[in-house]
Amino acid sequence: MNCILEAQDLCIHYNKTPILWDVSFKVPKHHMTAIVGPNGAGKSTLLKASLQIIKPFSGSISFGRCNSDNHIAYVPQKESIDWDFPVSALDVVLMGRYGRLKYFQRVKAADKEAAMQALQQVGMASYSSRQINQLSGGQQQRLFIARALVQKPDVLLLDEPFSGIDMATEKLLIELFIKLKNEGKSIFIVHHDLTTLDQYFDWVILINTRLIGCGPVKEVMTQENIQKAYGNNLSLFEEAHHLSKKQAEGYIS
Amino acid sequence: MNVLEFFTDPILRAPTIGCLLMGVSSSVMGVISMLRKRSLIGEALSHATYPGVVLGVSFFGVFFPSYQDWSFLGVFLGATLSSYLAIKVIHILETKYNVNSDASLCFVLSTFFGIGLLFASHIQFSLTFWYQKIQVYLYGQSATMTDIHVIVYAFLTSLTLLFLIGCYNHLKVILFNLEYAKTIGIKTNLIEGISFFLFVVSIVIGLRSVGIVLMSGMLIAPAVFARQFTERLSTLFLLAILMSLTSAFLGNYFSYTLSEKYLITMPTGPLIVIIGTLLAFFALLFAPKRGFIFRKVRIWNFKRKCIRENILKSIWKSPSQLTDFSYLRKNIGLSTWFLKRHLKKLEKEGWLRKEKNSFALTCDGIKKSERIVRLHRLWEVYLAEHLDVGVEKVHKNAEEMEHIITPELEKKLTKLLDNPTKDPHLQPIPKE
Amino acid sequence: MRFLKILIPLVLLLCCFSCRTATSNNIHYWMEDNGKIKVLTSIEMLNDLVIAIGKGHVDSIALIVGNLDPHSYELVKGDDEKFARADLVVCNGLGLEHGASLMQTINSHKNCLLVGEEIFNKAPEKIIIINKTVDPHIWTDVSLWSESIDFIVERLSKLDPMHAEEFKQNGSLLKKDLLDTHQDLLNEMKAIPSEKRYLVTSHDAFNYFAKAYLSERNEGDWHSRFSAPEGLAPDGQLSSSNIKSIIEHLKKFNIHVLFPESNVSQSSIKKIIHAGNQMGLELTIATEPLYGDAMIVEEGMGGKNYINMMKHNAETIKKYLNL
Repeated sequence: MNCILEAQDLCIHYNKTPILWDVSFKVPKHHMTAIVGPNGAGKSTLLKASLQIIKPFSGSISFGRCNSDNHIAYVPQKESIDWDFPVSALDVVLMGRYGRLKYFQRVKAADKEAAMQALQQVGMASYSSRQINQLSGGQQQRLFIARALVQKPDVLLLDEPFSGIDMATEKLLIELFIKLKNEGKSIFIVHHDLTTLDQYFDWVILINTRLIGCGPVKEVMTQENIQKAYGNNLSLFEEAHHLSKKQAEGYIS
Repeated sequence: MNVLEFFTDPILRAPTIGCLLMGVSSSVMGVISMLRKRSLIGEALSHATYPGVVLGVSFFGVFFPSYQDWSFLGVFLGATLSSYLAIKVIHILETKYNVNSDASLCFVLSTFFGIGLLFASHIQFSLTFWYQKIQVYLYGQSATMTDIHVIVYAFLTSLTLLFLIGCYNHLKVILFNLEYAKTIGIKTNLIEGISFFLFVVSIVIGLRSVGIVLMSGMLIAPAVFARQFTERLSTLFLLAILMSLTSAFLGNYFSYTLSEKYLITMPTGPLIVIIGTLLAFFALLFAPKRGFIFRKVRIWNFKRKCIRENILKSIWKSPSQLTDFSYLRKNIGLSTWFLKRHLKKLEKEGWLRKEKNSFALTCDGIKKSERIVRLHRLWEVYLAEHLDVGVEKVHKNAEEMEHIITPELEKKLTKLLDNPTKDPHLQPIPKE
Repeated sequence: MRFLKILIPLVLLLCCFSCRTATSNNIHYWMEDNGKIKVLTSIEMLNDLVIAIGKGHVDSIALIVGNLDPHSYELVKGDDEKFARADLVVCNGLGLEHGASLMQTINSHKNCLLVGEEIFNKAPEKIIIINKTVDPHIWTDVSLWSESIDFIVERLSKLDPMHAEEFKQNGSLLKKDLLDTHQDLLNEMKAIPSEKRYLVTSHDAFNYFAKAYLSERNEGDWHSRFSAPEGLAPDGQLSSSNIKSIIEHLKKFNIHVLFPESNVSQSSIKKIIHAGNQMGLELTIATEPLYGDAMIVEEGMGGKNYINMMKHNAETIKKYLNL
């Protein structure tokens, strides 16, 4: 099987509102794929569903062969974290190895070594003992990526890794991702900046509640598709559905 | 009464050891709930146990009246069920009805406690003897704890410690980043379930010693105390446990010795919570890094440093060699008394020398002033050239930054700006 | 749905506990207009006296019944009506009824007799003061309790002058009965050898009892004859030092029996026994309780309940101390 991620008639609801509706696609291996769409389109939801964090209402989404264990690494949005948590940078990276730890088992020297290497890869080796509340936005993002790398993944899933970081860090990260892709990994990134799309990525999933397109960047990102995704023809649907929800809850007579 | 006797004397050992065990489990679970940012839940759940306590005791009163010594089992069971019901209601309120988290916790707290009071007032008339047993759990009665209590608590506390040690790393990930934990194969539902069960257990243990009303203090105070002193998770747990043990022991100690000395009864439970709260308050004020007092002192010291550096800079910039007092008074916006004090201090430290009513910089003083001016002007160049800030705006920001830039940062600036000699206002930049 | 399945049985369980007893019928009868004086007493011990004195001309009920604690009793629904209907309210005073709502209502009633205060005014030396607090449990000394008869007779006579003579006669008879009982108790307690005559219960209810019946004549300090871990009001707030001092007391006077009370929690006594036995003292708990703040009331025995209670207490004490 050549595809790494496959979705079939995927429907995800939140409080009876459809976030993703009837989404089906196949993404081949060894690509750097962007997941794009306007705000509220369901991009993060798609990512979380593929990781089994969110249960679909119907349909399915799964990774090809490696469906479990630490071969899939997730990098969540850094805004969703409490950065005042009392851990150091090294502690956070080590978390990538905890999936393999049994109860009562302590972290080994080999784990620490692997964590330091991962920090090295993202250029944060000198920050290993820093408390995470002393890190800047870019450093926090790099830390999360180091945590993902230490899992030695075949697939990387990143949720808006480039938001709120400086250009230098962005360049560094993109180079790292390209290097990983060339090593044979598959990378999925929820991305918000359309201008850098064809520069960084070779595959794209364009969604706005429905799947608008899935394929090579140049093929999918046509004027028509972009209009469909970012234009206003879905807003009627949203408005009608909003009314229906209120009706069902008894707010409108 | 020496300290050791508190652990051996048949009267004192059960209350003392019982309270110590309670302290361990409540501090551990309290830290966990604080890290989850849900500290208020301890307060809500401890009050929500009240109807369960009442029903549990009443159950014994109605069906097993001759087994009054075992009524504490009824209390345990009732309190646990009541807590689980409370958490279910909180969850429904938050998810189905979109009630704000704080609001749902407070609602459950007051409603359940009110229902408990309602039940209790009925029991007062129909099962009066058993009603007294219930009242003991409102404010605790550790003085009458026996060795049986100690054995049960020891078992439950060791479960809590086993959980902490066994699942420490998994717990760390779950508390830090729950979604990520799910993706790396950690059994989050199992660990969360056990964690919640032990949380309820720690509350139920605490009911006997400090009572429903005060229990949340034992959950929160150790966590607050420990957080003030450390940035490491393992130290956080350890400090919280130690603080809890200390307040539990001191509560027992003072309750006994003060009652002996002053012939007034000082119940143990409230004393433990008072001591714990005082310790937490002390930590909030005086912890070396995060304490309020120390931070205020540091802020004040920094302000003083800025004023003094500004004085030196002012003297350096003044047209004549000797600067008289009135000139300084005009330039530096301080009252005469404060200015005189600062000048005196600067003189004492060797940056200034005084001649009649005028001041001149010493050699060291000149060097220091030049450095400050250099940092100021370097920063102005950086703002103007690299951040495109207008020339008229750079001065104000540089006035702040000149006191903050470290030698490392200075080196980086010099390198980046290619060792400039003039600032945006075309004033010369003193050399390194 | 599952939620409701748990909730409904719980609510039904609650309803089982809230069933009131048959006393509500008595209250309805008492509220009726039948030309008799309506008296509301705070405790059953007073009620007993009023019934014996008033006989057929007075309808009397007690507010605090059963095992309720008079120290902490607060008004509940229905009590206000009772106070409104009562022609005379008879209370113990001396701080016994110190629940805030109860105290306020008593003080604002138009015709209120506080027997303890009257006795205190007449003979203050008879009232015991512990740690600057007045001990209100005067009914445990029968002779002292009998002094309240005169005050009750006086008030009833004022309300119903026609039957004043009758009240006076009933009062004298009752006084005689009580003083006889007092003598009986003295004799019974004397039968216990002096070195065994020490009483330990749950709370400080028996000071007057100890002073009257347990102390030796001319014994200066009768206080050692009685001790209890909880203070004058059994609110459950005690410290380990209270337990310790009782154990010292038990050791000092070689006491082996502790007496529980009918309406006070036994946890403090149980703790004392548990700890004491571990320290080598052989302690036991009496299987029958004493009646301190509460009394058994038998229907139709109005006027005799108090005497029976005191006699029962004396017999129980004698039985266990003489073992």
